[in-house]
Amino acid sequence: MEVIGIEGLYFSYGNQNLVLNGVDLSVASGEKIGLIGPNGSGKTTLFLCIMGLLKPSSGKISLFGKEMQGERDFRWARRRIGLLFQDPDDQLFCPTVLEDVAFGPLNLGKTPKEAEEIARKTLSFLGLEDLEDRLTYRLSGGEKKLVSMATVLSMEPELLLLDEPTNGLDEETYERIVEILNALNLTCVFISHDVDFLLNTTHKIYMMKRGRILTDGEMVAHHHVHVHRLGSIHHTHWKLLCEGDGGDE
Amino acid sequence: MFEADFLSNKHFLRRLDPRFKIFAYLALAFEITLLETVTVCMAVFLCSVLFVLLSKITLSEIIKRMVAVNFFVLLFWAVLPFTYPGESIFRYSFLNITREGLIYSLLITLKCNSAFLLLFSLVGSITSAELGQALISLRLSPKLTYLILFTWRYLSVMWMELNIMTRSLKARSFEPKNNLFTYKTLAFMVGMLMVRAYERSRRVKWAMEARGFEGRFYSLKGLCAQKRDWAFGAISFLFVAILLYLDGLWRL
Repeated sequence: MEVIGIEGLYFSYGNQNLVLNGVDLSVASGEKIGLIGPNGSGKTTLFLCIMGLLKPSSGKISLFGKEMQGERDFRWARRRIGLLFQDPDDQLFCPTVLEDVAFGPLNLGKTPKEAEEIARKTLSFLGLEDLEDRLTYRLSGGEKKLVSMATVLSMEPELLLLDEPTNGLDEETYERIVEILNALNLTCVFISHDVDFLLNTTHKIYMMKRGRILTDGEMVAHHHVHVHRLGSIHHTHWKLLCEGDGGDE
Repeated sequence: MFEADFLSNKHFLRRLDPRFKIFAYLALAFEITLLETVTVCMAVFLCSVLFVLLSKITLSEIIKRMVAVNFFVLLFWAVLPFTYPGESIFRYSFLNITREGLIYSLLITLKCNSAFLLLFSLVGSITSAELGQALISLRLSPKLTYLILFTWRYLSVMWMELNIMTRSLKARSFEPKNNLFTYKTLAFMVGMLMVRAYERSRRVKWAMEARGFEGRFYSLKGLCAQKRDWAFGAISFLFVAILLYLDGLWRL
């Protein structure tokens, strides 16, 4: 089944240039897709459009096989999608970790007892049981990111949209997130600037540039071995070669 | 207030229903504004000290905050005893200290410290989630309640952003002076802070909608008044009534 189907999607903020310039995308059930691209290429905007939080000027969005016609359809779809925001401070607004993780299930109509149980189960799955009574604004950057992940997973989504899930994380938390994501059997789309991360967690990597998605046919990410100083420390390489434009730093 | 360190204490006040604590605080605070006799004010002050002792807040935390409050009160002590008309008890050159001026300053000090300690011990022992729930169940408008809760949550974030901007200014050798450039820079900073606050509020709204929010907050724990809450409410009410009566009696 096609979980995400997008055809000719256009979007711009006010009268500015087009941020999404005819995006076409198809994601099948169980697929894990990576989205990479320069800043301002429209990756986050695409996620917000998929969630129905931004209204595109034209184009078609289908989610879980149903074409989205308006806010009512998007509300239905949002209950099945987990969106992780780039900045965890946007995601975490409840006072304590447990309350924040239970926020989604409560909105889905679970009773407080059920929601609390789901929240505890999710925190335990992510190894965050010790944080449940902590104040969200007092968490460290890595903890905030992991708790944000818990708030998304507690909704038991069928589709995961993660915006820069490893941004600014130390090596240990980074490895943990990769491990968690690989253990999930869900349809996923990840936005990241980190090619290593995408290679470790996704089946396909698409590049987004100037508001359009360049699919596998135009860009191929591949493993290679190289040697340099301090190579054992986790690092990222930015050189991506795209057909037709000779490269992108 | 609302600090994890205070809220982690498992004390009697922490276990009380937040609605009764808000009620007791409002009643006592209102009473404080009406009192005019030092003895009754002293009784309220002792009561607020008792609440602080019950709430097991460390002395250093209290003192740290009381210093700031009493710095403001000091200004009254510097002016009122010398300017308030009344019976002179000390005179040196042009300085004349009046009995009424001293009593008035003492009243202000007691009232100010009592109100602060009550707020600290009663309202400070309520988590922000409980506060929201309590305010809604006390029929305060949900919009106003959410505004209070979100202001509390995002104050620290805005404070962080302000610090980041200040650091950035310092890193570029900005030194505030009494000139147009400084005022313009500070105005840019405040403006940018507002823009960032607006942008963040938009993103938070999106994050909430993405998690199924449709305008109603649900809470994990419901509020349920128990016998001890009713007893606390009744005692507070009685205490307020008796003190008001005594204040009226001794004023005559």
